[in-house]
Amino acid sequence: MTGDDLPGDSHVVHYVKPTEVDEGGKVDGSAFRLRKGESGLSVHWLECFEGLKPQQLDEVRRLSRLNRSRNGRFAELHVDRTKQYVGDQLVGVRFVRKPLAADEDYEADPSHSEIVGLPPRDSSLGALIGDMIAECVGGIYPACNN
Amino acid sequence: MSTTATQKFSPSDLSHRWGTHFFIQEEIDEAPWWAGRNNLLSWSHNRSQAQSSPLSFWEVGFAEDKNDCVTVTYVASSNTLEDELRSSDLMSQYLVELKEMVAEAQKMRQAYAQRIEELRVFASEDDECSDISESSREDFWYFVKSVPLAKKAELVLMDNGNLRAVWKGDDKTHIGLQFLGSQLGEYVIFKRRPGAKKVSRVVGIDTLEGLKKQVRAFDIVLLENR
Repeated sequence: MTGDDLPGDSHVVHYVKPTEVDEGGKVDGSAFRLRKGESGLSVHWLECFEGLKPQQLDEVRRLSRLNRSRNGRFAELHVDRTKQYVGDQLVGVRFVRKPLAADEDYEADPSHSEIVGLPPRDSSLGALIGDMIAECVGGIYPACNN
Repeated sequence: MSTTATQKFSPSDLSHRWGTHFFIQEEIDEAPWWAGRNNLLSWSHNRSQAQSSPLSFWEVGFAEDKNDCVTVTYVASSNTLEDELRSSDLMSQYLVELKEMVAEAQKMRQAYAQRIEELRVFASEDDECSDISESSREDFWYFVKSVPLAKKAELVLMDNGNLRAVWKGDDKTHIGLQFLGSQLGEYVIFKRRPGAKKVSRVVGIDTLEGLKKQVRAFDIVLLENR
């Protein structure tokens, strides 16, 4: 389970801060650079949940442990398409499961996953790959139910 | 922001004459902030238009004073009074165009200022995001002023407090530039060449002036034309 690759024909969403969304509502590549202390980019696997996309997104919102801004967004990526596109410049990128167990404050989040194999946060290659991943975004959704 | 509504320019405004050449000055209320650096216009299409006419203009330039007032100066050649009048009319037209360009550039500058303020507010609500770096902000303004004819970039704020501007073309050509401070930028350039399947991509760190050379080498006009 933990560490397993996500199915290629599935989708993930990644939380994007309002500072990383441009005025036209598009997600900037800086959203897909590793953050301080991260070894993988945190995402949620949509098909982990039953139902259609709106229900899947609601489950992600309900279980996500991130401090989300009301102006934040979830950016959707297709697993295989993103890997193939990025593979032009970087091999070894994987989408792997990393479910979070329940604890005192939170319910378990089985959808939690990571994109691993990304370049270091401050490298120029990280900037390139971030912008390539941003080109793969297939949908943008509010991160909170307002 | 406004430019002078009245066109002061007329043949009687000629302030100096140099033989068959004359020298004309025009004041504009607001500085064409974008033209400030090299003084000899980025106004090339106008200039070439002028060169192809029977009259010739050259040395079109700007000078900013302490009050941000700008004097537009040009030298034109003419052999007759009629030529002088024609060149005066022609230059008047150019100055109208120039004022429109200044107005557009000022509008863009206001939009950037508003966006930076918005990003500052977002950053203040986010514990993980640094406030906007002063040196990054200064470099951003320096850069956009140095590329006066560039289309408007999208602007975002990175967690480290640096501004990042992205220019995108219709053909999915793309220039991303993180302003690192100290006149350095981290650039990402995507160029889709006509007929080529592969996208050319390049990334690196360079001085802001060096970056412009990289962009030119890629034959990208995003920083030169709206």
